[in-house]
Amino acid sequence: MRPREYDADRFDRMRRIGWLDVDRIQNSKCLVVGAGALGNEAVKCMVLAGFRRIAVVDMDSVAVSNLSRCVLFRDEDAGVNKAEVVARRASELCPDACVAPLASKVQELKDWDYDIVFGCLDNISARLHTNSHACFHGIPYIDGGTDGFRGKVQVVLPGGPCLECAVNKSHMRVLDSRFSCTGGGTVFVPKAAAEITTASVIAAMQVREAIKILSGKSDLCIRGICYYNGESCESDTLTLSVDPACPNHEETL
Amino acid sequence: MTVRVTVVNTLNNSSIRMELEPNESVEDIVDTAAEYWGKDAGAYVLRKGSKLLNGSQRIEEINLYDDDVIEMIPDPEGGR
Repeated sequence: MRPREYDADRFDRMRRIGWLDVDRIQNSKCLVVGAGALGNEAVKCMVLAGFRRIAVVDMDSVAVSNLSRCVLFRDEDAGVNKAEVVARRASELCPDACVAPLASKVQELKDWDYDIVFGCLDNISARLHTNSHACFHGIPYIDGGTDGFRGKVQVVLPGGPCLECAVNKSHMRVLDSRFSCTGGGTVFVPKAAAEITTASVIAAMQVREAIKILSGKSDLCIRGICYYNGESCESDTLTLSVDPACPNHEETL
Repeated sequence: MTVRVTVVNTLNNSSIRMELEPNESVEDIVDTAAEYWGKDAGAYVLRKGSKLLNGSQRIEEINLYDDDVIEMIPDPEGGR
C-alpha cells in the first residue's frame, strides 16, 4: 500500500469488517420484488454496499404520494414505471452497478435464477407467491413489511420455516377482502400508513441479512421473524417452526 | 383438558381470558380475539414468549398451561 492509498477503494471501510465478503456480494445476482418505499431503500443500500447485479420488478408507476418516502424518485418521475426509475437512479449512485428494471407483476416472472430474493411488497398475495417460488428454487428469501411505525423482517433460508408457515386465517381474510371488492381478480389494496423512517430501518435490515448470507454468516441471521416497533424503539425476534401443513415443505417433511 | 389463558392485545394492552379445549387451534384464538376487539381488517399473529405460533397448531400441541399469556400482534404487510 502506498501512503494515503487506503481510502482509494470504495469499499475499504467495509473490508475492515473481517468476515464481510465484498467480492461475493459484488458477484451475487439478486432480485428485489417491489420498487416502493422498501424497494427504494433496499436498492439504495444494496448499490452502496457493493451489490452489482440487481433486478427490480414492479408493475406500478410513480405517484406524487410516493415522494415522501422514496429516495430515488423525483417530481418529474410521476407516471413513469417505478422499477425503471429505481434502476436509473441507482445506476447514478453507482455507475458500475447493473440494475435491470422489470416492469411487470412478480407473478409474470419466468426467471428465478438468483442468489437472494428481497420481498419489498405491500400485499400478502404477492408475498406468498414470491415466497413459494423462492422456496421451490432453494433461494434465500428476505421479506420486509411495514405499517406506520411498525415493521418486520423475516429471513427464509432453504428448508427452514417460510412466510406461509406463519400465515393464519386473518391473512386469508385480508386476501379474500381484496379479491371480493371489484371482482374479476382485480386487487383492491387499501392505503396503509407508511413513512420513511420505518421503511429505512426495515429495508436496511433486509440488506444486512443478505450481506450475512452472502458472506457465509447465515448463522448470524434473524432466526424467524424480527418485529420492530418504532414507537418504543424496540425489536423482538420470534422463533418459528415449519408448519407441517405448509405446502412449501411437503417434500422436506 | 381445558386451559384458561390470557390473550393480550399488544396495540392497546387490553386483555381477555379465554378457555381453550385441546382440539381447538391457534386460528380459533386469532378469530375469537380479533372478533372480540373488532379487528376486521389486517392480519395478526400470536406469540407465546419468544415463539410465534403456527395457525394450524392445536392447543394440545403447544404446551399451554393455565394462566399462560398469549400476545396478539399485528403483522405489517405494507411496503409501498
